[in-house]
Amino acid sequence: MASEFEFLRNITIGQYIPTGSPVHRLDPRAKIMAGGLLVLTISFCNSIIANLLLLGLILGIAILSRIPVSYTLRVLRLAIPAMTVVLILQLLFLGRSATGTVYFEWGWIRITQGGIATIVVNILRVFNLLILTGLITMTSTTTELTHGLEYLLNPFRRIGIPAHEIALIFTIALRFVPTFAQELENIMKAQASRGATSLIGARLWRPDKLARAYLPLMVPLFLNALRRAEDLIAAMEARCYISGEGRTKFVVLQSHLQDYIVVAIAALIFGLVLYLT
Amino acid sequence: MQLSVRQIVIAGVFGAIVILLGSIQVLGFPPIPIPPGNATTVHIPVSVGSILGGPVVGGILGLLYGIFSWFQDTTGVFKDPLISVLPRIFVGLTPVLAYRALAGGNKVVAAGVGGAVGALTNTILVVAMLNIRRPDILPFAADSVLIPVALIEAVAAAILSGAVVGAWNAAEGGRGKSSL
Repeated sequence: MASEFEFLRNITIGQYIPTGSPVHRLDPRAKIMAGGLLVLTISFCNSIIANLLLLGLILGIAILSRIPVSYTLRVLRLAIPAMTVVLILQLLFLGRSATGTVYFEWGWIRITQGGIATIVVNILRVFNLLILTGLITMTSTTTELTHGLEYLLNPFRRIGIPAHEIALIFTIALRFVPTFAQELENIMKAQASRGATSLIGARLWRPDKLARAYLPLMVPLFLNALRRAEDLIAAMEARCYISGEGRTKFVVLQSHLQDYIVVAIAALIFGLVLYLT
Repeated sequence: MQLSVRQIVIAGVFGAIVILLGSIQVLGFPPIPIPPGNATTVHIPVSVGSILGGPVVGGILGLLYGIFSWFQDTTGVFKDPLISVLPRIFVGLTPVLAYRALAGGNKVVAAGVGGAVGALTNTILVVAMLNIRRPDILPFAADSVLIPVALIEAVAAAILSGAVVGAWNAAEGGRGKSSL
């Protein structure tokens, strides 16, 4: 009975699994850059073989990071229902532009060999992307990733991008997610005990009923958030916080040889794929 | 571009709500699962955040919404940043423009319009990018199917945004006012 409300405390943004592997010890900047290059590579690969090779590479990284392969593949299980819907839509709408031998035709629906190849490539591509992003979050804490992001954005300060402020915004957001999850759980329980409309049975196609179901949850959540914001603003201003030039950091990222090697390998792979396509 | 402490904190706090609402959908909380990330409510903190914090805050919140929906996507469709990230930046910019245009009148109504504009911006731009980039999933012809849902979302967003901004103005604006 309580589980209806208590799922909120289990919200995680990617599960960090500390195994102390070489991948975990990499500089987060290297992981972000290499990860970004690999994501671009995956997006540019159009053949089944290339995607299978990339899948092998990514599974190799998973083994290197000492994360059980069965756990990395678990994320795919969640993806299956959503992907099935997309697959069906693709099968229906891809027909006209696809090439190759026609396997099945009915009205304007046409399933061809080219169409099926495209769909298989898409499936592999999604698998690669999901496992890769899962690996990045499993091998780095969100704090590390935020530090890495700030360092990477720093060169862009001259063109007006507020790197430090953006990193701080992400940090504040991540810090408050569990707090608000708990808060929302309390609000849901309080409203349920007062007999508010449960969202499970609500008629969601009428906007007034929809708003009426959400209102008792959203308004207290937002007001609570704004009050905490006011407290945080007062605290920061009381400590004379000034963002901008000249701030030093407690945690200083230092790159080592392996970080450069990793990024170089990722860049090579990307260059190779670009050259071959 | 200089951000004040107030803007940083408001962006952070509303960003937390975006992440929270986006994560709940994955666990099977309210249905209507069209674009991933709890289509019916996640754009509301972006709209309200931009109304209360300004266009820069709204842009950053939109960026956060986009990146988070890129991250949460399990279908492969929203792994294309042009579909998931780029339109969402505008979701953070348009509500505050609508709000400021109408702020001379009733602020609650202006906030409601801002919320509706944000919801419509989200639907229209994301669907447009899907049409352009992935016509194999959503061709132009199928767009009319989504019009009813878009309208429902816009009305619900208007009610919720107006309620939140109205409640906040009443809670904070009323302080210090004496009837004596």
